[in-house]
Amino acid sequence: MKTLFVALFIVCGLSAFSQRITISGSVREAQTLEPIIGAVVTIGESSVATNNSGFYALKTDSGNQTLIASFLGYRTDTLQIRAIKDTTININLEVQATEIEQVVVVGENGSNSQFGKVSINMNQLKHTPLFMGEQDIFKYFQMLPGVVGGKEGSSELNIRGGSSDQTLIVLDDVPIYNQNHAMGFVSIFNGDALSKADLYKGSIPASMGGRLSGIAAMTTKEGNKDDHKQVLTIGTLSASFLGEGPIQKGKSSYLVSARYFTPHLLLSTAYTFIKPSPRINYLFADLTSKLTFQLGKQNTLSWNVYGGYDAFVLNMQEEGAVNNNLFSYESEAGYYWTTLASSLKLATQFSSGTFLNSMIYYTSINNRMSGKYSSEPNSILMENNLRSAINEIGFKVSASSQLAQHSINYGINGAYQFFRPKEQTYISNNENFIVANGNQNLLTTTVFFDGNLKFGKFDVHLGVRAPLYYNGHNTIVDVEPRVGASFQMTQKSSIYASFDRTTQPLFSLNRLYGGQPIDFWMPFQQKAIESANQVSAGWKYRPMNRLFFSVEGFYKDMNNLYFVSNEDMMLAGEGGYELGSGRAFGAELVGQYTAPKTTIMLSYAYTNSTRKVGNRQFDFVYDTPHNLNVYFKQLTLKRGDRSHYFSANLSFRSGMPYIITNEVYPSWDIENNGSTAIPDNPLYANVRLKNYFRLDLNYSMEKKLKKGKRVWQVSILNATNHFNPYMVVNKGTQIDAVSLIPLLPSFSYKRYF
Amino acid sequence: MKSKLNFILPIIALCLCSCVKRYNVDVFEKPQVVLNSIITPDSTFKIDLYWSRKLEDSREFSRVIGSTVRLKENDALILETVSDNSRLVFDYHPKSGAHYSIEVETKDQPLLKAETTIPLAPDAECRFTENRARYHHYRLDNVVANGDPYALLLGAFYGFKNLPEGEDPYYNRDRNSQIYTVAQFSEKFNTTTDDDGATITGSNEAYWDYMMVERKNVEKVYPLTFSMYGGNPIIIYSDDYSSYTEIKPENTVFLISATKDYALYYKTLRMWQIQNSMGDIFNTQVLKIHSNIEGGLGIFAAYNQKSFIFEFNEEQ
Repeated sequence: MKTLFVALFIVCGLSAFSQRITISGSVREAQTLEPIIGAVVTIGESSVATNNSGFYALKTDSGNQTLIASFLGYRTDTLQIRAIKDTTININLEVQATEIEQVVVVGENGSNSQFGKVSINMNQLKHTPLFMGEQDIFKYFQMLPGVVGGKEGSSELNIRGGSSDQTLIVLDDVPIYNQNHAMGFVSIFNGDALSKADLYKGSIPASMGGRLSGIAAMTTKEGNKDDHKQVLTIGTLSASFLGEGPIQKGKSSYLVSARYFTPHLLLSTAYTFIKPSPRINYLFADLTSKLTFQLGKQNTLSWNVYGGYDAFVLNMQEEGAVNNNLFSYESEAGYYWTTLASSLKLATQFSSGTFLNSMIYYTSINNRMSGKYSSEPNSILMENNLRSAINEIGFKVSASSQLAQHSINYGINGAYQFFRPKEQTYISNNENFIVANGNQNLLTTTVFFDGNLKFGKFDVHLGVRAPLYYNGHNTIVDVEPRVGASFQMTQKSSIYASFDRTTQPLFSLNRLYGGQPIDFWMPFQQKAIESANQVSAGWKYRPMNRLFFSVEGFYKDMNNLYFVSNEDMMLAGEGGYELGSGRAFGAELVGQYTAPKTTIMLSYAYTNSTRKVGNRQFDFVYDTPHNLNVYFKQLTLKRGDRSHYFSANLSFRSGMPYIITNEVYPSWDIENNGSTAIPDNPLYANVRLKNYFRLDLNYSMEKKLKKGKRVWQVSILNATNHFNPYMVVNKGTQIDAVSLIPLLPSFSYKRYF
Repeated sequence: MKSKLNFILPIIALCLCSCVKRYNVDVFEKPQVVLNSIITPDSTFKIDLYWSRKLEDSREFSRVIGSTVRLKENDALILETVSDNSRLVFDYHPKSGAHYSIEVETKDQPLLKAETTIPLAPDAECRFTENRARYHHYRLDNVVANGDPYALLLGAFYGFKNLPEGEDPYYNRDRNSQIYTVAQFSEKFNTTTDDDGATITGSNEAYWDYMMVERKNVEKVYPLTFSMYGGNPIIIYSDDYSSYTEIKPENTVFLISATKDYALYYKTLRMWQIQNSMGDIFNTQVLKIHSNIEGGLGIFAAYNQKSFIFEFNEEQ
């Protein structure tokens, strides 16, 4: 804390004695006027990244200056300015459409906030291989060093030896508790509606937290303020539509995007003509919308809504006669989950160059398994429901200011979470029973401060986050320092080191086994909260514009981790869990070559992740020592309005630890009722699966039309048909593995209007 | 139902789009010593020592031979013996309320330790109320959970205690009946639904064998009306087939005071058996069957019970 006050004193002192002017404004995409988040604006020695609304503000000396605005995938804009008082300069950047750009920013030189962070401009993903016809940001995240996807085909993000529930997923700053459509094969985020995605593995800003290992932050497009645009996509799995445009030109905009699982329509139509028993149907659909209003020159109001729905239904029916007595029955078993998120945000820019962001939000996941049964002639009606849900409301207020070449961001956020971990309802004819395992609550209040200070070639980040957690019984307060520093050794290389402390007040019951698409969440159970301390350091080197290398290393220890041994007992408050600890360390290498027609990205990560419960130490289920990914993209044809691209992803990683029951012992009643062999199910992974390998190929053909353009994409997943297990099951006489992704072709047609 | 849904829905999806291969891995390390002993004042000590084995090994479990077993009652040694190739039976009845600890010392194996206390038997009154198509209905009143046990378990059996000489001893065995009742605050881990017979049994919810009620819910559940399958009578004809005797089975109702270890062992064992019968590959978590044996596997737990025997008259 002492360091923090010293830093504040320095920052405030520098501000007080500075007599310079403020240059502020916004950076937007030239064609759509979409704000560009994270664009770097440089004036003289000072540089700053645009905030979540695309705004920037810089202190500089009055007189002639050169302003440079740049961002991945856009042409750099250089302006000569002469300013003698505070001035607003709005910059519109043109998309670099005629050449292949690098896909990933792994820290630009001179921008320390990028350390430990990966930013992806969604425009740059459009020619990467499709997953079942879907352009899925989570599948791309899984290619990054230090990120492991878990089971084959899943949408999990296990960062730096952590588990999936240790990654905070946010959409427009709103936490999302489920990222899975279609049992995890597709993430719930529609790539067409996103403008940007960031992944934090370390150097996490103090303004974000609540999870131990990392953050995946998606940002929805703002909507075109200049012209009405539509995008129609038809793929193997789904069809989607996006519409955006101005409500009042230049001042307000709308964006609506909807996606629907098309095989559902085919099956539903077929079932109207034929009624086989059993009938299976599956549906996923989602809706993303955003309204943005410019209120005067200083305020921007936006309203975001996301809704996602999945339903997996099995129907059976039979009619017949026994001894001349007619009978009939119908049954329906279903698995449904709904994700909702909505936020109202107000961004205010003050003339001093200070930004104020205010937000209120609601988010929830509702998960239901149900079974219905009815029969005649004895008029039996039976219905069982199992529900699990989490509902959250919250707010966040933050302010950011530019003080000379330094910047600060501080604020407060609060959230109330209502957990319904497991509720069973039995309805039988006229009787109704409810068995609920006590609802639980969690109240969180957090204050945070981030200061980015620049001293010559040194950039220093001083952040602190102080959360207060209350679960209805216990109150826990923690102080999380987030500090880091980087040094620009030369124009081409820089080094950095950072320390992050993180805490997590809730956890998923199925974090270890991941058997279901939906996590069952619970708040911390006793006066013990999960925490992690991570140190990381790295070096970045850009020998020439086309080449980029980075090396990062990290060490993380985790404490008070909840290991669930018996879900039912835990829900009933009978224990059923143990507290343990964890440790992870590793190194991550990235090499990237970007030429006008070719992009190659190679990433490799070595990670060691272990857990300890009592005296027993074991490999964590997501421990993946070696993880290699190679991405290649080539412009194969450029003729008039036509562009063709070929791309390939190659993934290789060590087989993950896995829990397989292979030891049995007799139960007590062996003497009375014969031999009952019961399993000694280990709580820890006891076997390592074989290595994972997958090669995905993609060919996309883009053609500009009189109005808009169209893109055909054909992808082949797992082109070598390598057998990668989704699950491994001991069947008593042999161990079987199930794979879900053999060689799998898919396509997508996208039409821009 | 949850188990069914967990299993059925994803397995259908997998059937549609998966491929399965045999996977060769060997994870078994070395066998562990298994100590199993459930004690009650109604019976003498019985202790089983076995070696655990690989799942795919179809052979019978082998006994642990040569282990030194020490048994203490309220910290006083009451038995020290060496195990051989049979169940260890100690002709001594555990006492209600007494504390017992056991140690098993086996060469090259960790020392096994466990302890338990015999709970007091519950008090209750049980009476037969009616008979509907071989389903016998009973009512339990004035249930008192003496000594604050972890849970009360209700079970029902039918059997033939006094068959004429020469009759098939199969009929002499006590047969477990499901418990049919409507109870909101009982543990639902071993329930099934049986709508077809609800008018006969009085409930469409049935408990596989025992109905478990946690101590905190005993007053909410009892008094209780329940039914059980009373068993088919057997008919014994006279030598000349001119007459016959119908012998109705005897019903026994057990109300059990369980320690926490006994209750959790029973609960997790039954949950596993149900899960196993459905298929266990899609459950949220791998179920760990409760064990209180330090250094090994198995269970050393206690219960106490009150039983009610109902005899039905022979009919000519």
